[in-house]
Amino acid sequence: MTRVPDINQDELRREAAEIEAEHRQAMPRFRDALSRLFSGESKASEDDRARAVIGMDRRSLFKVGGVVLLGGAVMAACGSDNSSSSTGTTAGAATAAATTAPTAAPAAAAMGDVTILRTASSIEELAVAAYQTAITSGLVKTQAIADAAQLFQSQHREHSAQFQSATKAAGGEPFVQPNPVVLAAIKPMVDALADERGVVALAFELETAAAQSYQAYVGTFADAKLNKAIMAVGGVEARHAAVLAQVLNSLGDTTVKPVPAAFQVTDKAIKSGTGV
Amino acid sequence: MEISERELARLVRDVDDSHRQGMTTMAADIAELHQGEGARLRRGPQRTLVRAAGLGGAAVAIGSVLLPMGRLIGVANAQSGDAGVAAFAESVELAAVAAYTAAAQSGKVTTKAVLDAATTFAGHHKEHGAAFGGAAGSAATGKANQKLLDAVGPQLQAAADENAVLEIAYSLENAAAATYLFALGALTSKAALQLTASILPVESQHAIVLGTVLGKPATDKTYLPPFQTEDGAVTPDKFPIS
Repeated sequence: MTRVPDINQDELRREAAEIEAEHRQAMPRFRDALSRLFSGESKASEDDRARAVIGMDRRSLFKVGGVVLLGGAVMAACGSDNSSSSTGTTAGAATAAATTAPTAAPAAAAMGDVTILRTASSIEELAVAAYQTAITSGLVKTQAIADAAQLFQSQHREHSAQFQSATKAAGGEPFVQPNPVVLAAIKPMVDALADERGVVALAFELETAAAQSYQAYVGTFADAKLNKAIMAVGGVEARHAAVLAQVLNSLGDTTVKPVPAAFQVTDKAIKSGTGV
Repeated sequence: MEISERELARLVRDVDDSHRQGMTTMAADIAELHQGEGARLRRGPQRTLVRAAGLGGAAVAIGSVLLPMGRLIGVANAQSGDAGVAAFAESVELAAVAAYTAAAQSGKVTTKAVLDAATTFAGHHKEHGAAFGGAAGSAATGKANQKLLDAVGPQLQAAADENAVLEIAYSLENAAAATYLFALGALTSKAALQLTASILPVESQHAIVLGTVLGKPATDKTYLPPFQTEDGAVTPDKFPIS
């Protein structure tokens, strides 16, 4: 995949060196902040407070490139081993139930709900697989980030199980694999994945897409109860995205924000029915 | 501090730009609310907050104030229907604005970046209040929820330092997120549902920022819960608008 085509090679190398230097400089502070988050230490310095709120360094010309690099992890995980998507206890149980239970054709009004719920579980399975890749790729060097990946992955497993259960309740067959269309779309990014920052950026993009997707589905359900159910998950994905944005900020990428705006938008939402 | 004043100003401008961009979409949504489904909102929906009465037994927590939640039927007439829910949400948002303003003026918040964040978050809540007020139409009061202020005000006054103030703000943001999950079970119009769904994640992200500043551990279920719940939701029965 060609990245940043308008910048000459010398400039690319110089920028890469600067980014790398900035990265190395940021890493100790980054580890400290994340370690506190996942060790339960409660004391935050004034600098920590500033970073938590707005990020610490300035530009990251390679932000887009960084995301591209990050993407690599997901592809390896999703493309090579779908079994990772069903390794969780709850998700696994839900999957087993879904494959053995007879499913009647849902009523027309519920078909839309089933499609949305299948899309939602496919997004969750994609996230589970992406985090699995992050964990096993060897690219994540910071223990606190690995801990975060495991926590978020476990929560995505729970989300997937919830959506699969709801799919069955609506008379449909649960979708139990990572979304194939989104997976294909991010393959070029995945192939170029190279470092920890890339993993975090990819995770941020996936969490953001999930949060926006669930928001977009609200108000379109035939069963009104599902509006709450989907946002009980959507709110959590937004929290994940905010944490990951803080991590990226601490790595010098201030082009992402823990709270992007007063209202969440849906420009990155995955359309219901995509890939399922 | 590693961030210059100029850089802080730029970042705040970035947030404001994003904010205004979001408002363009919201303006269209609110227009839809009144020009499309607004008539139904003003009539009042078939389903009301009464539907949520089955959730009674949960607890409402604002800061250290813990209150039982339930018996919503008694206030259903006054604050039912999408317009009523939106008016209630408006009052909650305006109370949040007042709380942040009081916190900023208390002199207890001493970290500049945190003070700036509080100002930004207050601005978000102001916009949320305006959006809900628009959704409420003639039911809007334009006033902060007095009961909520009565609960939060003394806590802010008693707060010893910045951390104590931030804990109150953190609790308020989590309460707002829980409240909007609760509201999603009561609203019926697509526009009102989508408006609420666009705000719930933002309150959640406010909570994350404040929780990180406070050093909340990842194991804290108020910080990174597996599912958003209604625990701590502010409800019209305990915090009725006047």
